[in-house]
Amino acid sequence: MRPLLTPGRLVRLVLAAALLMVSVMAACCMVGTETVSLKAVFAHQTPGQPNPDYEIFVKIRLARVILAVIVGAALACSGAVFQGLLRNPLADPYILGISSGAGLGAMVAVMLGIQWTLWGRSPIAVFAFAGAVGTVALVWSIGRVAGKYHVTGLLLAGVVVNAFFSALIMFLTSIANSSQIQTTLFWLMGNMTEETWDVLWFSGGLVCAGAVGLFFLAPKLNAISLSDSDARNLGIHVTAVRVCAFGMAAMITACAVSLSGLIGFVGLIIPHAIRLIWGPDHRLLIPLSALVGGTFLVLADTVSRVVVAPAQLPVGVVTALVGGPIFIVLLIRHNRCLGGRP
Amino acid sequence: MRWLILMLLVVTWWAAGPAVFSPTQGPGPSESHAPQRIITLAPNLTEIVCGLGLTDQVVAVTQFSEFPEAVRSKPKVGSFWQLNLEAIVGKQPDLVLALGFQQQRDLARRLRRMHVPVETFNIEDFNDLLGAIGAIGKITGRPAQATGMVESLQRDLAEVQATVRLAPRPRVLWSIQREPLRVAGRKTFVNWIIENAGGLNAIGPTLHQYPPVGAEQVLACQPEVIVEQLMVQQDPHEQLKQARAYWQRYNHLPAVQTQRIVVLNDDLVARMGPRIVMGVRVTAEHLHPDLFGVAP
Repeated sequence: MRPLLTPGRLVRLVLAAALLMVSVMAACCMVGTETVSLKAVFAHQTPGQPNPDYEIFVKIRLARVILAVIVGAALACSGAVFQGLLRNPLADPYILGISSGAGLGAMVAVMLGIQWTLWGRSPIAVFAFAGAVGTVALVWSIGRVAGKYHVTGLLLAGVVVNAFFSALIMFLTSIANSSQIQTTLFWLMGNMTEETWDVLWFSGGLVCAGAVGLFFLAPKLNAISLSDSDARNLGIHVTAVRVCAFGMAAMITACAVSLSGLIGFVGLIIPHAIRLIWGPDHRLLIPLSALVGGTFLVLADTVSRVVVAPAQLPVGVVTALVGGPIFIVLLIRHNRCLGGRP
Repeated sequence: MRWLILMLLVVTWWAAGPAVFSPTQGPGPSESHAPQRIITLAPNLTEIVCGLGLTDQVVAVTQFSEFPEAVRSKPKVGSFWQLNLEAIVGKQPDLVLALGFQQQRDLARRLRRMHVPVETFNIEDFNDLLGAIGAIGKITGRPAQATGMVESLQRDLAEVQATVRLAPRPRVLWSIQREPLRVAGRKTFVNWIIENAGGLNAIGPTLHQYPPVGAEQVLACQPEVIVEQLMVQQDPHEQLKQARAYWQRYNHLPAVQTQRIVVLNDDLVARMGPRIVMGVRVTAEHLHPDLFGVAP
C-alpha cells in the first residue's frame, strides 16, 4: 500500500527529483570529448579574446544540457498526460500523429532547400513545429467528426494520419537526393544540437508553462483516467478539460520535436516507470515525469556525445537502448512486489 | 484578478527575457592574415585545401578524410554528418570550411555565433568545384595556387574530352547499389562523368536522381558497359567477381555478353573534389580502351 499523497510528500518528492536533476546536469556539463578546466571557464574574460574553455562549457555543453532537460521534460510530461487521457498504456506523445506530421514538415523544408531562419531557428525546426501542430489539429477534427471526442475515434484517426503521412515521407525520401535523405534521417532519429539562449529561453518557458498548466489539471485528469462518466458525476466538464490537456500536451510535444527531432521512448517509458514506483496519481505523475524525463534525457545525451567520440550517436538510439532494459527490470520487480510470479 | 496580474507579469518577463541577458556580439576576428588553423568538414574540402599546399595548416578533419595520406593522422572532429561542435571549438580554428547542406549550414550558424570564422560551399557540379577552389584559394591567401589548380583541372578535362569527342558513345548503366538495384539518373554528377568520358547514360530521364529500376528497365536500356562503384572496404577483385556473377542473370545484355563490367574506385568518382577529373579519365579509359591505349 502506497502512502497517501499529502502536500508535504508531494513537495519532498518533487524537490528530491529537482535536486537529482540539477546534480546530473552539473555532472554532465563536466563530461565531454574535450578537457575543460573550470578555472579557465570562470577566469576573467578579455573582450575580443576567445576563451575556448568558456565557449565549450557554457555555449556548448550547458546549452545542450538545458536543451535536453527541456525536451525530456516535455516528452515525458505529455506522455503521462496522453496515457491518462486516452486510457491507453501504449500512448506516447507521438500517438496522435505528431511524429509523422513533424517529420513531413521537416522533410518538406529539406526538399525545398529553404535557407532563411526564423528567430534563429532553422527552417526544419519551423516546418516541423508547424507540421506537428497542424497534424494534431487535423487528427482532432477527424476524431471529433468520427466519434464525438470518443477516445477510440481519436486514436484511430491518429493511426491513420500517421500511416498516411509516413507514406508521404517515404515517397519524398525515394525522390530525394542523398544529402537530403541523410539530413532527414538524422532528424528522424532525434538529435540534440546546441541552441542559442533565446531559443532555450522561449522553448523552456513554453514547456514550463505547459507542464504547470497540466499540473493544475491533474486532479481532473485523475478522474478522467478512470472513465468519462465518473468524471462527469464528480462535476467535471470532461470535454473542456480534455481539450485543454490535449492542447497543452500537443503544444509542448511540438516544441520538443522542433528542437530535437523525434526522440522515442522517453515519453513512453518515463511515465510508466514513475507510475510503477510512485503510483498513478497525476498530481505526482506530471511533475515527477517532467523532472525525471529531463534527467534521463540529459544522461542519454551525454552518453550519445561521448560513447563514439569524436562522432556522436543520435540520442534516440541511446534512449531506446538504455531505457528498454531499465524498464523491463522495473516491470519485473513491480510484478514481484504485487506477488505475481517472476 | 490577482492571478491575472501575476500571469501577465510572468508573460512579460518571459517575452522580455532575451533582451535582458542576450550577450553583446563582439567583433569577429579580423581576416587580414592567412589562416593558420584550418578545419575541413568534408573529404573533398580536405583534398582542395591540401591541394593548395596547406596540409600543415589543417588541424582537424572528419572521418573518411583519407586523402592525401598526410591527413590520415590528423585529429577527427566527428563524421561528415555527425559533427562534434565541442571538438571543433576545442581546436581553436581560425577557419572552418563546411559544405552547404542543411546540417553543416546549421553548424556553421552556431560556429559563427561563437565568432569562429566559417565558410560554406555548395559543391554540386564541376563549376561549383572550380568556384570553391578559387574562393578557398582567396580566403587562405593562396590565389595563385588555386588558379593553377583550376587551370590544370580544366586542361586535363579538355584533354579527355578531346580524345573521346569523335568516338561512338557506348550506353553506360551506372549502378550504385545492387539489392535493390539503383542506378544513376540524368540529374546527377555521375551523369556528367559519363558524358565527359564519352559515354551515354543508358537510363533516360527519371523523376528520381538515383532511380530504383526493375529487370524490365534494365533489359530495355541495353547497356554496353556496366559500371559499379567500389563499396567501402571491399576488395576490388572480389567485388568484380560478385558483380559478374550478379549481372549474369541478365545475360542478354550486350555488356554482360562482352564482359564489360567495371568496378571503379569510389574516391575518384563519388566525391566532387580535385580528383574528379582523374575519375573522368579512368571512366573514359574503361569506355574507350583503344583510344587511351590500355588493355580492355
